[in-house]
Amino acid sequence: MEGIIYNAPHEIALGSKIAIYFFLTGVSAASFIISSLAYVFGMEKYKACGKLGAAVAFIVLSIAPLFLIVDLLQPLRFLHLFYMFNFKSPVTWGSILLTIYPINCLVYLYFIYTENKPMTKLFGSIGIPLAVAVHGYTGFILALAKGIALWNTPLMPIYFLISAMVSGTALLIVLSVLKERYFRNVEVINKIFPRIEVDIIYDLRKMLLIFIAIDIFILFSDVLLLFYSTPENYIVAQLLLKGPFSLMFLVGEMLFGMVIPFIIMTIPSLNKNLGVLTFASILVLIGIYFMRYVTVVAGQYVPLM
Amino acid sequence: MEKLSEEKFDRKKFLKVLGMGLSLVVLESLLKKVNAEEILSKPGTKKRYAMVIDLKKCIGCGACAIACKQENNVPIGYYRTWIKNNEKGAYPYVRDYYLPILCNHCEDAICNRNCPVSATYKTSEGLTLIDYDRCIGCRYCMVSCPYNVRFAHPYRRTVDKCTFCAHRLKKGLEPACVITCMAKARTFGDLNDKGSEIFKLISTNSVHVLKAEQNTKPHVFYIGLDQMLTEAGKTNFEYMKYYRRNVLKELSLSEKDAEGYFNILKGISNSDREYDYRLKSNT
Repeated sequence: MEGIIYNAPHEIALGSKIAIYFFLTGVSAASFIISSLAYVFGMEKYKACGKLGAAVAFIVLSIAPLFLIVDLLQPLRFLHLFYMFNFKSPVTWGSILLTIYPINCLVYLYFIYTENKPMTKLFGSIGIPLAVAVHGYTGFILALAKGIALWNTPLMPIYFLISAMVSGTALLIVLSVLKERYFRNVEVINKIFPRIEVDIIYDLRKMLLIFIAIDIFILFSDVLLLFYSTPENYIVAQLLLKGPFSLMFLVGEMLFGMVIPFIIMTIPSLNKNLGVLTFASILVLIGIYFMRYVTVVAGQYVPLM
Repeated sequence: MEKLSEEKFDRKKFLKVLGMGLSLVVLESLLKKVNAEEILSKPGTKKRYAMVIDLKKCIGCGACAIACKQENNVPIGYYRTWIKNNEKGAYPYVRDYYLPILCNHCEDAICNRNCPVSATYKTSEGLTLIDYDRCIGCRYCMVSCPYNVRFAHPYRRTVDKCTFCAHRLKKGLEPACVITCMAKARTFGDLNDKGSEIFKLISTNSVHVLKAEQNTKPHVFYIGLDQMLTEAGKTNFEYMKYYRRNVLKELSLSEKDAEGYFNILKGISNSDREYDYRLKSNT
């Protein structure tokens, strides 16, 4: 029995721009949550990296929606999203969240720099659920596309959130090390962001390890169950592990993004070296980008009909 | 009666009733705007359009796909309906199997649920249509559809798909693929009309829908659907190409040549303008 003889070719609708968008919202949400450690949960020692986190959260989330708008077939019609609503659609949730969240970030930043403690705490507390939602909804975007086997799993929003925490923590490590290494004596930057102690970077490393461990666990349970449910899921598992995405998935996402950084950061002789930590964090960031790309594109790679 | 008149109709109650009434009126007017596409149906009748495809009759000639492209001016390389072809068995017991695929006009259409600007909408006849003036081209519906029937129209720059030839239905005609089918494999009709051919076919044959497990309640029914056909081709990843592919390059044609050869390359047909029921009925 031969395979299919004739069928119509289909397009892959969502491409790398959407993957970049997912990556950026993830970084933003995670940076916000880390910054809230200092300003909402009162862990005073994280204040230095809290300021950096809040700034990263705002800047990254101002850039992220541009990728969505450029990706539209008719970019100017993005305005339709603000007066034609369909509240069932996760994209509409997104257009609301992407409007509120950056404003909240800006207000939060303002109160951080005017050192208004109660207001900072208030807007930080409002921001945490918003940050979770602004990235969690992207998980629902994928999960609600019910024809696509790789996406249509309840794990998807959780998987997205935890990989967001991984990428956000990694970016903060990279930025902190860069700042302390190269901009240590620049007055202007020191005025905006206070000095980040080495201990804090070590703490971020511990958080990153925990997040990577959870990420590995979720990915493992996801892939394991892909093998043992519907035929479509089995095909997707084959696609990831043996098909055209195996290099990106096994090497890019798993080896570079999870295994190598995890091993580097657990070796006692290496994990106090800031250069090595930065290297591992950059690997993690690359791995998480691959994770977004593989999730978005590989999901659509299986012909549905 | 006396008791009623004794009851005080105070201001609070009056305002309450007035408010409720006003909000009902506002709500109704809002709802009416959304359901303006009812222009398709005659007042007093409620239709539920559906299609039955008898796969035992289908010979896989592809005339339906061509008729659809002509009728709706579908660009090169894109299809609103197409035929999947697979063979089963070994000599001397071998047969070709064909599966025409088109938009299923699902009752619980996931594309309708997921469209952020309500550009995809359900008409009261059960058609799933796209309002091309609303569509922003986010292509979320394309990934939502479990049947892969949607495509990004390269010249209109919106998403497009089968409309059951809604512009023909309005004039009392059947869809182009149905009238062109020489084997009479396709039957189109109203599920609510107990005397119709389609009602008879669905009642007296065993019918299947594609991907019943997706719970979308499709309105395209198949007689004699083979399991093999629904599974085949899923492992052949060549059929999914990278997004915004260049069809002309695949066919090794220059744009000028193509424009000369095919009038279907560019422009939008007359029928396209007639799709926009929602907008027309509002003006």
